[in-house]
Amino acid sequence: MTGVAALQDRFSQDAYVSQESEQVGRPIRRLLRIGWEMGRSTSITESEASLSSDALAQRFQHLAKIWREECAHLSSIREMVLHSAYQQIVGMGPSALPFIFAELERKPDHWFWALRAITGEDPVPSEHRGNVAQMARDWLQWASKRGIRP
Amino acid sequence: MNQHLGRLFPGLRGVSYEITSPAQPDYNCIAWAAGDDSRWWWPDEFHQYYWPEPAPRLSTLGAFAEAFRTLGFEVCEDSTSELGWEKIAIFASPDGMPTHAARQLPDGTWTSKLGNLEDIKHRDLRHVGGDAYGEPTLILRRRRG
Repeated sequence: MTGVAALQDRFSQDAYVSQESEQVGRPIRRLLRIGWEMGRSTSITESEASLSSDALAQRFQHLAKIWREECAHLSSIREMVLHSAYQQIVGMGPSALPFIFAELERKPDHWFWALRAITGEDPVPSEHRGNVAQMARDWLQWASKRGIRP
Repeated sequence: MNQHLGRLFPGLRGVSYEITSPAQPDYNCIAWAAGDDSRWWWPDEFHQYYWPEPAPRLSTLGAFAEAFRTLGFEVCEDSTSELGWEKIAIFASPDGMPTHAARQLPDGTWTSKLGNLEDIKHRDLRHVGGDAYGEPTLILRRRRG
């Protein structure tokens, strides 16, 4: 199982969602449960899984462009992560990870909340808090260890 | 005038201001006001960003005043330039959430880092007020070193 596939498997399990990501995880899990009960795919994550890699890439790039343009002037992390485009990217679940890591490698930006919400982990040590370039490096190393990026 | 900034900040249209750094995400307005150009300061709930101890990690004006108190700033009445004092203006949205900070320079003008965008030097706090950042709501000062 690849790094992303393993995370997708964990993402769909109740026990996986950490206390910190509960706010994000709860609606996603509720949609999954409704889908299972009705015998059809209703969750954002399952819908994303049915998209081709190209379609996922296009969807991510479209949402990321909107988010970058509309949040570039903000200092508030809260405002940035509550933006609807950012929340839709979080809703893509583990499928978004390769694109987020490619973005981080291209140009560090505020993808850290999304990464923590999707993965339930945070590899950034406290001494690196706020150092955007270093935080990006910490996450890229984490992704390499998990096999999510080369 | 930079058209992108003019669209975001209508107060900059038709007035003189200076872009003093390229756009980059390493630090934000709060850090810049505090004199730090190496970190992004914000009291986020996940503790992912820098916030000085022991200030509360809350998006409130009180928490921001506490954060700057760690650097020797105290609340003062207005943003008028005073010889020997360094002032910071904290902007807030109509619901009282902090959005932005600007630092007064010795010549009485202000310097603002605009999110991930550029630093600018502007003559009046109102030039970056409005829909994007709300209004300057809290003024702090400390003796210039």
